[in-house]
Amino acid sequence: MDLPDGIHIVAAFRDVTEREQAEELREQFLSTVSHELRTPLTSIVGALGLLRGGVVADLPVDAKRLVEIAESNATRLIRLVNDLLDIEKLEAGAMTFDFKPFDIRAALSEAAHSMRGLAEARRVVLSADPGDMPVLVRGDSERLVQVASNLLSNAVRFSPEGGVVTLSLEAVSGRVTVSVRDNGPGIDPDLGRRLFTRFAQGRQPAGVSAGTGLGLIISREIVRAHGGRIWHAATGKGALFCFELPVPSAADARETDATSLAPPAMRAEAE
Amino acid sequence: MKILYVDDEADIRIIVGMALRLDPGLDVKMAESGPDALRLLDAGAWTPDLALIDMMMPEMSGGEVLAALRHRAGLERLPVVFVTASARRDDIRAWLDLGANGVLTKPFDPMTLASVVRARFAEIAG
Repeated sequence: MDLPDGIHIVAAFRDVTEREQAEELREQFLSTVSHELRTPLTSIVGALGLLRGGVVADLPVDAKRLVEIAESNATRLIRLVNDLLDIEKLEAGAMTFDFKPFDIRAALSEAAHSMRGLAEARRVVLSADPGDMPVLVRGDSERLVQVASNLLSNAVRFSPEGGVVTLSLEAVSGRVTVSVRDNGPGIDPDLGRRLFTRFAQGRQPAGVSAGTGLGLIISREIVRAHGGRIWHAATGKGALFCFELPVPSAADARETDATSLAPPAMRAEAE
Repeated sequence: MKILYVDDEADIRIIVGMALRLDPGLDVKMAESGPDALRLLDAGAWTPDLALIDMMMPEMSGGEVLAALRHRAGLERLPVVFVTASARRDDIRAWLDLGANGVLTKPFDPMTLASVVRARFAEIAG
């Protein structure tokens, strides 16, 4: 369009109705998948939980063991459904984050608390030391609990009986680093290179229910959405996983050049 | 303490019933749909202290049952916790915005369900 004084206006219009409809269909599909898979799994886990709890009758030892196996695998299926839905959301850029300032020690304590049962069952000592001083970050508390829980769950599951898993927090010059260390068998170099890819898993110790192989990749995407990064450090003994978050406002965090957050050498970075 | 559990899934009603009745202090009644729940409540012989309502049901969704309850004399302030198999945060946020007092996600550990429900009720009752 030409206007007086030599001003030109160029306008482009695009009908986004189709895209919005596709997005709505995708949302409906995810909601249905979530509901339709989780509903029968709820019945299965519930029925097995009541049997295991001896509500109907005391089970013979072997029967109880079989019920526990079935229950543990049904629970694993539920985790897999959750993780696949998370991956789908992350890849579609549809995962929503509720960024708020909060004391990250609370999220770490919650994650550690949620892992107590697993640690006790595995006879692993879980030592969480987030320090005495509040450490404020701006982020999605629930999602960061998910990241910390995932790292702790991996560490506990791969620890030997009597092993020690340590969760620590360090706040230095505008960055917060959370570390989870175990004294398990460590990560072999080949797996180390594939750690942050789908379904990459180490050899499970006997009697330990397998993970979904998606936790690290989900954790990486959550941490990245916070302007941070996650990595596995080669320690020579055991495994050490860390994630680092910038402390500034969310706006600063988004604008932060990822390379400026590069952790020191000796680290297999999550790419 | 009286609890109304509303869910269209018969299997889950059986499991929840067995799980909640592990606590002898809980008086539990079941409804298989929103209209079924409203009929029970309208009869007036039994009024729950807490309603656990599945969100995704045919006929009436949990949200519609809640809206109907809020318009019934004596039930306007009945604590309602939605039960859902969806773990989607956007859904959960939207349902809380409808005026529910809480959301409980499936699956749950049946051996601890009664104590979880009691704790939720204590939180709501303040």
